[in-house]
Amino acid sequence: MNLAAVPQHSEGLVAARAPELPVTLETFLAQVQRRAFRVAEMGLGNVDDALDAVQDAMLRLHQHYRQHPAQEWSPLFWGILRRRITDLQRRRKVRSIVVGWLGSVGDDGEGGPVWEPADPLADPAREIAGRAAYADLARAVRALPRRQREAFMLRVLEGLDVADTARAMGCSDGSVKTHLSRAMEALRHKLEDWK
Amino acid sequence: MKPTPTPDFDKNHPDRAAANLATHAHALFAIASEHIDSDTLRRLRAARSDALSAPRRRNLLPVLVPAGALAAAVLALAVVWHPLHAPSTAPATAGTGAMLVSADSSEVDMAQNLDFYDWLATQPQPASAASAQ
Repeated sequence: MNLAAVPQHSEGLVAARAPELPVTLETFLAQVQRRAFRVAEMGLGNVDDALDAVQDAMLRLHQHYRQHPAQEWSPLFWGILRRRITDLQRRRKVRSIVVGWLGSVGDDGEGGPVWEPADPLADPAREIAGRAAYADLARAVRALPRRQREAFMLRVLEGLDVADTARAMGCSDGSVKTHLSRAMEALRHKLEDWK
Repeated sequence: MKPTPTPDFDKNHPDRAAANLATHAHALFAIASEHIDSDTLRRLRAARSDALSAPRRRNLLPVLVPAGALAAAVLALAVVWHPLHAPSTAPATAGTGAMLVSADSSEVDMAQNLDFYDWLATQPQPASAASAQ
């Protein structure tokens, strides 16, 4: 793992993000869409599914929570996206089981499963220097249990504070800390060569 | 199992390894988020535009809750009001029914034709019947 590609100004980024409230919902969505896509892609491992999840989260935020105060948009949006990712993961799992079962009783045995899990980061970001490092990170994060993965993505990658992470995850602050602590421990083992 | 303390991800945190991991992960994520291919970006913009142009779903809760409460109140009033204003003949009918339960079949027939016998009693007797007597 080569972290030399990570620019030095990234030091302290996690804690340094200033919470600037967007003026309009469109501004908020424009600010958050890229990171939302990356989070969804990391959770789902598929570009099309990730785009669907992000669009659905945007739509629901617009339809149901547009009138809410701007400071609530972030936890609401990430909470919606988190649930959407979970729904898609479950639906995909059921579909894989059904397709696998149908495939096992099929007469010709050709064609294979309809849903083929894509390489999550076959083309993660061609232009970034830390492409391999990001791919390793994404694989390690995807291997985490769901709640640990959510806590890590929201708290560390997106940079939400503990309270907003708890709101987005629908749990207590203490649960967030526990999930995150376990996620960090697991990732440290998986990404040994980051040291 | 007691959870281990959560690192705060700052430079002064004692768990330097966790803090470094978080910092590097966040940095990589930020860079990857900035470098998204043009096609995906175009689709993201289209998704945002579609979401924002969709009609807002009206929140029907403020309307449906009072309407439901009103309907329930009207139904409750109707249930309470109806027995109080039932027709006065109802108890008599119920009494007749109760009597019928204990009667034999001929009495039942007669009871069911009380109107007929009432009418018959009011009719003048035929002349042939009177002369026979």
